[in-house]
Amino acid sequence: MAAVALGGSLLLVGGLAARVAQKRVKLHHALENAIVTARLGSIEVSAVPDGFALQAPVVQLRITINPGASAMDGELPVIRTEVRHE
Amino acid sequence: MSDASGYKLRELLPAKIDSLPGVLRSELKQHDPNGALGHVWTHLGSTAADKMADELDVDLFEVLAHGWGVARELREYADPAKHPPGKRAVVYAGKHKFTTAVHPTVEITVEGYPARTLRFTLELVATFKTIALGIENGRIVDAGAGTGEVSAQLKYANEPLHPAVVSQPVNLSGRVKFKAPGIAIRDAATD
Repeated sequence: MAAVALGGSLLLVGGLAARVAQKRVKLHHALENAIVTARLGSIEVSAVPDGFALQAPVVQLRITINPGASAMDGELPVIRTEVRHE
Repeated sequence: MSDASGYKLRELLPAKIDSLPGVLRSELKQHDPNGALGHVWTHLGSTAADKMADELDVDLFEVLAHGWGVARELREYADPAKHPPGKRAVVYAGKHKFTTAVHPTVEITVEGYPARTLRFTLELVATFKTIALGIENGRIVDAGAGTGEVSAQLKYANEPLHPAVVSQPVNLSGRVKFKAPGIAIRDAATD
C-alpha cells in the first residue's frame, strides 16, 4: 500500500515537474519569438507562445525613459539675449 | 538646423554594463522563490538590459535641455506677460554646471507572477563653457554653440552599476532642434 502511495506521489511530482518544464520551454520559446513594437519614448516586447489558449501576452517587457530631477550648480551666467517676433 | 546633435546619451555609458543583467535577474527572481522559471529570469534580465540600452540611444542634448530648463535666469521666459507667444528669444550663456537625471523604468509581467517595476537612475553631470538656447512659448526649443563636458552614471537603488565615467567633451557647432513642443522651463522645486 505504501509502495502504491509512494508510486502515486512520484507520478504526481513527475507530472508537475513535466508541466513546469513544459511551461519553461513555452516561455523560452515565447521570448525567442517575441514581437517587438517600438514606440516613441518606450519599447514593448510582447510574447504569446504557440498553443496557449489565452490571447493575452504571457510575457510583457516595457521600458520607458522618464525625465528626473535637475539642478543648476550656481548660476547660469547670461551673456546676452536676442529677442525677435516671428 | 538639425533634429540631432550627433551625440547620443548611450555613448556616455560603458559599452557593456556587466552588472546590469544580474541586477535585473536577481530583482525578478524575488517573485519566484522556488526558482521554477530560473532560466526565464536570466533571459529576461539580458533582454531587458539590451532593450534599456536601445532606449538610451536618444539625443544627448534633448536630455541635457531638462537641466537648462530649471535655470532661475530663464524662468522669466515662462511668463507669457513678459514673453508673449510667438516671440522667440535666444539666450547666450557662459560657463556653468548642472546635474540632470533620467529614470529608465523596466516593467515586466510574466503570466502567473506579480508584475515588477524596476526604476533605475541615470545621472548626468554637465559643465558647459558656452551655450545658446532658443526659447519660445516658455520652452527651450533648440540649442547651439555648445562647448562642454558631460559624464554619466547608471544607478539602481542608489548603487552605481559601473565605475564613474570620465567626462566626455561635446561640441555643438550647429543648432539642434528639440522635439515639439520643446523642453518646459520650470522651477526645480516642482521636480
